[in-house]
Amino acid sequence: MKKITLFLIVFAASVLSFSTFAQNGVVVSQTEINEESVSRIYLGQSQVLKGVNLPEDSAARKAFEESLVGKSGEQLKRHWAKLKFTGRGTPLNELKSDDEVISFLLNNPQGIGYVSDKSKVTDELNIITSF
Amino acid sequence: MKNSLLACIGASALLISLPSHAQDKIQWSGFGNIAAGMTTGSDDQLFGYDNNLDFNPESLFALQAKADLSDKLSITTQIMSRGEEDFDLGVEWAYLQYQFNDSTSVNVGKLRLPFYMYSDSLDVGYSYHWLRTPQSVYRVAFDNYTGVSVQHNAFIGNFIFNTQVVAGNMNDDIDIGGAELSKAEMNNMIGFNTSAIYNNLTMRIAYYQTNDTNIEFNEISGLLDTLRQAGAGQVASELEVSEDKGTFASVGFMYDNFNWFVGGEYTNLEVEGSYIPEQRSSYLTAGKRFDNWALHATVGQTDDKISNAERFTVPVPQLQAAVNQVTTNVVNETTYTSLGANFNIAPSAVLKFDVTHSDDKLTDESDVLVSAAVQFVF
Repeated sequence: MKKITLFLIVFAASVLSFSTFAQNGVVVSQTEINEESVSRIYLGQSQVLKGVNLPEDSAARKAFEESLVGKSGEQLKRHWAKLKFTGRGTPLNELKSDDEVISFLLNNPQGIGYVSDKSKVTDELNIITSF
Repeated sequence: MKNSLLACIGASALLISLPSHAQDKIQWSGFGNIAAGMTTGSDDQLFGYDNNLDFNPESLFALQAKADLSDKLSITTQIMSRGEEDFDLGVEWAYLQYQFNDSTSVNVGKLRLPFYMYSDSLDVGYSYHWLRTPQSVYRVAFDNYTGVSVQHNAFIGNFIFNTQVVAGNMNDDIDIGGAELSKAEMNNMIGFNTSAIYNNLTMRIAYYQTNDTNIEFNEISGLLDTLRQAGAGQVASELEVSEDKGTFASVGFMYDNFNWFVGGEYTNLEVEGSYIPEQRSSYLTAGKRFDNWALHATVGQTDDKISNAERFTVPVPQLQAAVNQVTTNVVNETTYTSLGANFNIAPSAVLKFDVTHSDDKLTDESDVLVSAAVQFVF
């Protein structure tokens, strides 16, 4: 019993530790969508909206992937390699900066993205969730 | 080889002949595996390697081209060059994909038969943690088919269900491990696989069957003739793989959080009315990830069983000995133990080391293979 309790404490601690990534990041789109759909889109399981990514080395992408998608960058890279080479998914486009993501979303009502700086989000866009 | 060269030219011609607006949108990508290995004992042989350092058995390069013909329709081809086939080019995949809606798509063409959890990405070493998938389980010698595959995604509660239904035919020269390639043909093949994904846990089941399996094993063709001449035609047809029903079933799971992972698969293959034994195969794997590297271990075993041995009873003792030899020769009871270490050497490349020990319980032979590979995607 003690072992189980200890395991639960360690488990809870490791789950909670992800919340320390919390920054100023937000997920945005012109279209209203529920939070579960966000990770589905970024896991290639759903294409209700067209997702775009920030560069692999950006801190915002790391925080987004770990806290909202629930995977590490390495896990996701392997996952997408598998989807791409087995005909199950097309990799998401990568944009260079928050500004590029915002302008893409303003021009694409069916687009979804995330930015590191909440203050860049304009009135035309909905904030779906933060991370 | 001629066929694959033709297919290759056909596939390239198809891409080049696309309207120019589609050509502009061709998405190129690819992957590769540069692997080298050698066994430690002078007589040891394992997975195509022997005691001399060899780069050929598992090295490969692949290039994939995908073109969108419309929002819903796309065409994809994957051309591969394998060391074990003298780096000759061959078409591994070539298919049209139609996306019906957000949850359903259909692929038509030359596709990969998704027997195992990782069989559709078998060649993309980068997509899994092993240097090679566990050979105890990943042992079916054919992996491509021509036909249709329907993919469906469903979201139920916190579960994601990925289901794939396939139908088609397989026709290929396959390497069963003998000196010569065997001609294999499977018709009317149907089946499905479903993965249930819940956070870090993936569980998968698969079932495939065909009512018309034909494999011409050169090793037994002489014996079949002799049996028929001796009036034991019934035994000959019990041995022969001709118009037989084949079934394949598998269950698997993989749990993978950021830090560690554990997984396993169990598979069962039967070809009724043939001398192919019931093949029961399994593995368990676990590993731990550190900053830029990972350590993992895998144990696997094959546990084949001759079903209804009385089918192979011949009244002539000399012939019985010959029959027993072929039926026991294909039975495999081997355990495999592997240790692996992976190092992320670039954002899309991983360097893997592997030591695998195999122990054949029936022949009492054991082999050790040491191998290294760089696996990448681009």
